[in-house]
Amino acid sequence: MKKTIIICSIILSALICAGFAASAALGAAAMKKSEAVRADVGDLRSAVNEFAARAGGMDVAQENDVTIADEYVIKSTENISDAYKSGKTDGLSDKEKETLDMASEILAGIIEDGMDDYEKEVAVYKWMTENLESDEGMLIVIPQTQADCDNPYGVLKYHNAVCVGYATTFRLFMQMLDIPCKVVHNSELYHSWDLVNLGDSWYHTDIYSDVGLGNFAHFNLTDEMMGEQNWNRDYFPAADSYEYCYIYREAVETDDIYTIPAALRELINGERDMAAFVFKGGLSNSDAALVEEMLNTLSSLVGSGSGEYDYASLNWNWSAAGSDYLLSVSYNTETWDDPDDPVAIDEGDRKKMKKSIVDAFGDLYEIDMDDDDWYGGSSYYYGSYDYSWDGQMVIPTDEEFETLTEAYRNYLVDAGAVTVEEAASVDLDNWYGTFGGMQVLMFNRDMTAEGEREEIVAGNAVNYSDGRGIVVTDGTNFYSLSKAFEYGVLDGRQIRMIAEIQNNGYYMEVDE
Amino acid sequence: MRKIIALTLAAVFVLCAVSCGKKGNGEPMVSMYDLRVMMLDADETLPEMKSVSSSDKDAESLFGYLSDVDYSKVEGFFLSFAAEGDAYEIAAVALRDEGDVREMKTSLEKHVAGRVELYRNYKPDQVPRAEAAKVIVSGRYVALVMCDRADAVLDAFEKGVN
Repeated sequence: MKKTIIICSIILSALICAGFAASAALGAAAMKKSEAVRADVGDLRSAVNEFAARAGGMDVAQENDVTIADEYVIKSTENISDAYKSGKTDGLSDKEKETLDMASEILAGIIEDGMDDYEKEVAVYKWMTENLESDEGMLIVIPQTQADCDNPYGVLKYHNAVCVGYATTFRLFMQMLDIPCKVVHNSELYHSWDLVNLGDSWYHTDIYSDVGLGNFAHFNLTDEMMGEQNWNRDYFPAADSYEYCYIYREAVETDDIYTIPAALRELINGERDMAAFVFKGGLSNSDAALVEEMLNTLSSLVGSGSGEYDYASLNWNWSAAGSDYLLSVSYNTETWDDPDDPVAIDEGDRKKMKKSIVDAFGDLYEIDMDDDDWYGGSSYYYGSYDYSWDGQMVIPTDEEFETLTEAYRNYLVDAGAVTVEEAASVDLDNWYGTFGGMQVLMFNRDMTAEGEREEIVAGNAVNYSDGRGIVVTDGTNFYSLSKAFEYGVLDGRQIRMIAEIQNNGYYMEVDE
Repeated sequence: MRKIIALTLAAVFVLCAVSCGKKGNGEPMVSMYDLRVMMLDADETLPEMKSVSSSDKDAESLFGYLSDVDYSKVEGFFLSFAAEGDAYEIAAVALRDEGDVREMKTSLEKHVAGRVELYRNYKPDQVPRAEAAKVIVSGRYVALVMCDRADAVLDAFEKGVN
């Protein structure tokens, strides 16, 4: 028995040891494997190139049921366009019927009798680029795109689309108009656009790339002009005609690049929708660089002095047409609602509005409801300094004034707004008063000399063309008017009063 | 003699038990939340970021936006990305089996390549940052870092998982 126990123990121990030894060996092998992986970090360019090469093999020879950007699917809408042409909507889902109604209404508004296919296509292009927006939510790692942004239903309903939405919607319109059209996808499966047939030739149209610009930069292009993309050229038809290429048709043959600004002036004056230039035989590198600098200069001018518009920009695009260069330029403007437009207000409504403010804020602020200038009256006109809101006027001694000036200079230097040398020229004027315990000062330095300084100093200093500015201070901290309001050191009424004084050029004199 | 053999085998048993296995196997996973905080804090220039993780209700579905590796191989993960869609992305994945790190690394590289392609088509100015992204392995953890201060974030990752 004893012998048996010993033998069994030996065998059991041997088995256990063998098992642990195997485990240790496997663990060591795993260590080596992970070390090899860790050593293999490197940059990812090779992975990107490999991906692109592999993508060529992933491309599919079909138009529909293709997934773009792993998220958006190109779907046929022929049943909808067939229903439009036949007038029969049997078999359409409710969503498809609604799509048909929306698309039909749009076409009814933009297509006129007598238009040929090219003109119809232009009309659809203009409507889409003017009325739709790109859904940039597709760029987010977990896409945050509008529902149905990849099909005509969502695009026409919400006016928000990703590339698949533009392409399928444009195709729907073309098919409703009996113009042959296909949705093309690139070989990497990250973008889609359209091929449209006019006069037996095919042309590329990429609405997505032109939306918001409408400069026809990607309208009816040849294969060569679409050179930045790769697609299955065996499956999709070739596009090699310039006949209906918009830019080519509209472009003015240009030998002298110095005539471009005058042409663009006509564009900005509204005498044309877009400006296009064709440089026969191409451009020299120096001329191309000159034109580019010309456009950048004009773009800055246009953007800085928008005139009647709140926003204006020049946008341009270069493309090659055989040995020729094409340049298309568009001018885009935007006008926002002007909040300063005077709107007639009924006096009865105004009184009611004032009362509602007094009811809500009367315990915090003194509001004279009977005063036409209801937030402070006329006590601050030139020569009068009756500060009725707090009734206190502090006249500083010379020493106090000097101390405050020094504090302000140090503040500017510490904030990096001026150098020590420049600070010596910063002076405080004599206008001086207290509002809510804060000292209100004017300074004589033009703080708009450099916009960056304005930003550094109290965030949003008030500045005027005569070089004066206003800061308020408790002797240590300095604030612009807007910051003083934001931080609650002055209330809205006080701020308005100070700004009103400055706006009207009133200048308070200390009556000593 | 038998006693000698028995004692010898027992000694071998003890030695094997001590040397057995690789350090880390069976060690609990580091907190994905803590790791995320450490890594994101390492780059102050990050824009507003959104985050999802294995703590989310639909974690498996969300993981699919990062990798095509079978989710059953994942013990935990987090994915942080720019809210506005720019090329900023920080992620870490803890595998149940260290043997799966290579597969995970490859899938993250594929993810990055896809992001590069997306930016190339729609926001070319983001391509350089996307192309400079790094995928790194430490034990059974794999990290993806796409930001301006990738080295600092990777240091935080190494510290966090070790």
